[in-house]
Amino acid sequence: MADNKNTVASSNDDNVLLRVENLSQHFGELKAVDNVSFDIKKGEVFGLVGESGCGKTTTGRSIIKLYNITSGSIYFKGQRIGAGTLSYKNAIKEANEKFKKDVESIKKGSASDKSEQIAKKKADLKKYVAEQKANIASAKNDNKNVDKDLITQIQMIFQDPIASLDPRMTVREIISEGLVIKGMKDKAKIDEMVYEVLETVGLVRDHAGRYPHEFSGGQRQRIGVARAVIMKPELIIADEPVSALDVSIQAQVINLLNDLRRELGITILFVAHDLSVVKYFSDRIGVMYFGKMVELADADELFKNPLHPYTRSLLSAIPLPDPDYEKNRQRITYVPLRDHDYSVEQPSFREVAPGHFVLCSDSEEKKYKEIIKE
Amino acid sequence: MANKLEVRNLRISFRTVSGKLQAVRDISFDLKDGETLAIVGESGSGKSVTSKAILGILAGNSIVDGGEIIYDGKDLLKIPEDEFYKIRGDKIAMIFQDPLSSLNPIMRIGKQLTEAMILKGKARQKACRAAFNDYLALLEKAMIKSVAKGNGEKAKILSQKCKDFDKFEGKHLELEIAYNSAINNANDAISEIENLLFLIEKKAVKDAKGSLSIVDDLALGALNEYVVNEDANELKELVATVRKEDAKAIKTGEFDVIVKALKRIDEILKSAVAKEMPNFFSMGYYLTFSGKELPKMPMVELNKFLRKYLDDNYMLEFIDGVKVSLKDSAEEHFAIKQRVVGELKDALNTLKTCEFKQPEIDNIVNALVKSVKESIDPLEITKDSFAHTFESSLRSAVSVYFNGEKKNVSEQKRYDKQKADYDRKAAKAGGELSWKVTPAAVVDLELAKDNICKIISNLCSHYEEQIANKSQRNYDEEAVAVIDFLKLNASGFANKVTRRMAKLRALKLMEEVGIPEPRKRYRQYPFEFSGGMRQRIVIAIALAANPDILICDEPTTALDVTIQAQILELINKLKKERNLSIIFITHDLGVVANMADKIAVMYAGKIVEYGTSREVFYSPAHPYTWALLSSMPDLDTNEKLEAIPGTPPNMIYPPVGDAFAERNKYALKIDFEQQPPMFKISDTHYAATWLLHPDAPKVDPPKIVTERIARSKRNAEGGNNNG
Repeated sequence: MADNKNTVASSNDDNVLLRVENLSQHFGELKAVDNVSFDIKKGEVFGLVGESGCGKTTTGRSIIKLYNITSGSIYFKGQRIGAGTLSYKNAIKEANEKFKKDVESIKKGSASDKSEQIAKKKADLKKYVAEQKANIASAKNDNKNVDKDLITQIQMIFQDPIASLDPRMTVREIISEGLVIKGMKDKAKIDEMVYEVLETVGLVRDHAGRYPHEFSGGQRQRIGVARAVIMKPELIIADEPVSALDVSIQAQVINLLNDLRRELGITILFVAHDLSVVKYFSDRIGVMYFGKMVELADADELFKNPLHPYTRSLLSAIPLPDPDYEKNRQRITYVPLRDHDYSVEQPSFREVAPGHFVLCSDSEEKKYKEIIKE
Repeated sequence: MANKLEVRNLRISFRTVSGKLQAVRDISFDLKDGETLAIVGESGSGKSVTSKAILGILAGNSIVDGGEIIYDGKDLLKIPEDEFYKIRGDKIAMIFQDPLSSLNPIMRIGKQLTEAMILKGKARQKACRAAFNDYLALLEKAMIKSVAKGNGEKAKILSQKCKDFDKFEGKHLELEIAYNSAINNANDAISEIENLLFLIEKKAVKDAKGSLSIVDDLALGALNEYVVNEDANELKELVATVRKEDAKAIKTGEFDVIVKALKRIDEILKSAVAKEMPNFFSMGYYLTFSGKELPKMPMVELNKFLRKYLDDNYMLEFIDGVKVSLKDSAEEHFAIKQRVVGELKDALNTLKTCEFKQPEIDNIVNALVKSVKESIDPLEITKDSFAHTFESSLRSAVSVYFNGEKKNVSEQKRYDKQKADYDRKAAKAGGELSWKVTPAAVVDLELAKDNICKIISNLCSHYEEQIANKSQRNYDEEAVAVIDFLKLNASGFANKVTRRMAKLRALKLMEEVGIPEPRKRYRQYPFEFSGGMRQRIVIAIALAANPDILICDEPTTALDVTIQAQILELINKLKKERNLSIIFITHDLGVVANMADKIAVMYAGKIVEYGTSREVFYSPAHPYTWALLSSMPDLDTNEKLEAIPGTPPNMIYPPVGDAFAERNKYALKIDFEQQPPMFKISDTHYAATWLLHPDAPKVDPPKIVTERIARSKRNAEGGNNNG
């Protein structure tokens, strides 16, 4: 466990707004997210891509505490807002088993001070278990007693603009709901804030009294954005905000998010599967495959030097509005068994070039470094 | 290439509480054999409505205001439901957009996949049997008439020949079906074995027992006289070895014996697949009528021998007979067509001058319909769509005229009354009111009259053209086509779809569309699948029926890139293999570049640009196409995207001029006043924008578009230089 801790850039600068460390989210047998680590810096757009079911949405939802995470830690502005206990529990289990084995081997051995050795091992184990139990307690404590003000600074925009708005609430009620829950009672002030945010997202005051069904898809998504923005968030988790929209409307919403980011300095975690949009919109991109982060780099770097075979296959599948290119496009397929040999060495997440992380083994790391040099 | 589907002047509207919504306004396009037509536009542009009209599944509040959809000599807008039942799903299939609502939640996936195959299989068998029998009977009659010419002896021989055809065709198919299933099994076994050997090598076999038993079954399925014959015993022994050893191997993890056996099976099957295919058609004849065993010789020579035997004893004479009767029948019908042309011309003259009264017009129409029916040559295999749809088009055009005549007066009265009411209230309020008066739905009688004349004159010129090209008909080719047609139908009714076969095909399709562990998934319910998986099931269902035309309504919008690429490749592969014609509906131009031969860009119920894929992407002409292209980022886009401002117009009150004018920054004054016609740019490229008018100012497309085109061209040149 310990060797995974330093896999992400260990720079502890204040620029990091959100840090995800060894996040795992298991649903029973299914490891939806498995040991994922990344940082999001202040003011950047961090894109998360991967095919459906790879855990990108689950990652987003775990951050905003829609799920109780299984293991790992999430830090927002330096404070731990989410923590899981599975890794500690596993550590205790492993230590117990190791202790049993050690005791047996000592008993079989011929050393004279058998009982002393066993006593020493027992003391060590006790200390170690106590440490881990303290960790579990602190994780549970952190998980429970999160600063409410801090957590409202993370907001979410959902994929489906129809399903995510209550059809029986007016736009005013939808947008102001967060403020009301937070305890704001001054109606006039709430209205003022609602009007202001409506104008920010490109709607008009009159819209506040209407119901969601009276709007087009693009306008509904704007309402979703307004609902997030009114809480003055530092971080917005945008879960596929444009994939349910028409191309022409997509551009409107992307432009809106871009403006918000520039004017209000909001940081965005952008989850999507349309790579052209992610490339256009993000500063850094993380690629996920079956619950694991396989590559993480600057957007330009990732598209220029994709290293992991999965990333390559993903990039080779992007359709472009160019018939001649499309006729010659060769898609690369990714078959984990064929592309990696992990029978000897296990892969881990390593930095092969400044800011460019790949999930790879020792021999692959060497290979990737050579590719980058070229 | 022949036209598979023709859509002419289609107009569809919807009855809604607030008025009549015009969803499709006068669109026309052709779909050729083996071609992909992409219809691009944003939601509400009428692209889905068009496709639903083709499939005959428009919503209950829809009204077809006019037009024709012609498929296989029928106008799909006018045929009754029981006839549509034979076409829908079987000949024309559709992949629906929403996988949630297009699957039945309480039916297992397997049943949903095989349901159509079994239902349609029976229907198709019946239809093929009928077509085969009918055509053979027609042919028999024609041959007796033009070859035997009253010679009773000869007539008897000819009718015996036709009966023989039925007989030995049955034998031929029996042999061929057995052969095909064996070959397919062999091919499947080869790929299964390769897969399994790879997994064993990587020590990653999950369900060894299951995979081995599949391989065993497939390998045994390849036993056939013409596939695995000499090595049959060895193959059986090998399979027995595998069956004996598998339990031990799974327990110990030692797969050496099995790997060796599998490799040998692989060799045997590969050599079997590479063998020359026998000519079963001739073989069927030889086995049925010679009364002898097949002579022993290599397959290539045997094929030659059989072919010669068939030709000498049967085929040459039969084809000659077919040729002569085809020619006679065609000559005879040309004479009738000549007469009909005269009648059509007379009718046109009468219609132009006479007063339109119901009984007289009905008489003229009835007479015309009768003679046109006589002029259709029953021996023609490709149906003449003009002649076949003549009756339905003409009758509907006539009824439009007379209904309009009746209703126009009352409709005008209603409008005048409401308009007066509106004006009075508006004057009171001093300005415009919040509601509008629904315009009077008056039928333009002159236009309706013109339509009637146009239908008649179209057929007239079509016939004249046919008569003029009379000498160019090649009866040799047509006779061969007739034999092929008979063979095709015969295979249609011999190919029985049993439950087991349907299941095997469904499993194969599930694998093809990329569903892992199809055997397990086959028994699951839709709720156990993710969205992407469900979409793949929907695609598999559409492909299961082996359709002629496939309509894809945003099939990959809900899928991620890798799966999208897989599915598009699959559709393209099937298109090539089965010569499918595809209508591909989407709002994503990136997807279209890969798929389409032709592109139609739709906006507000009209086609605004129509051209080949290269023309639309590399020299787009309509501002809406520009806007679509510039609002999507590609991998090299850095500047601000040019979103299209506003929303599409309300089609209850369609704009007077160009519907896109309000959102168009290149709009001219005339765009708000008058609808632009389709300007021709090249033989295949059309666009409806006033910018193409000779008097219009010169406007360049937005920078983001021109730059992208320049970049593509540069890349293409670079690629060529390297290559």
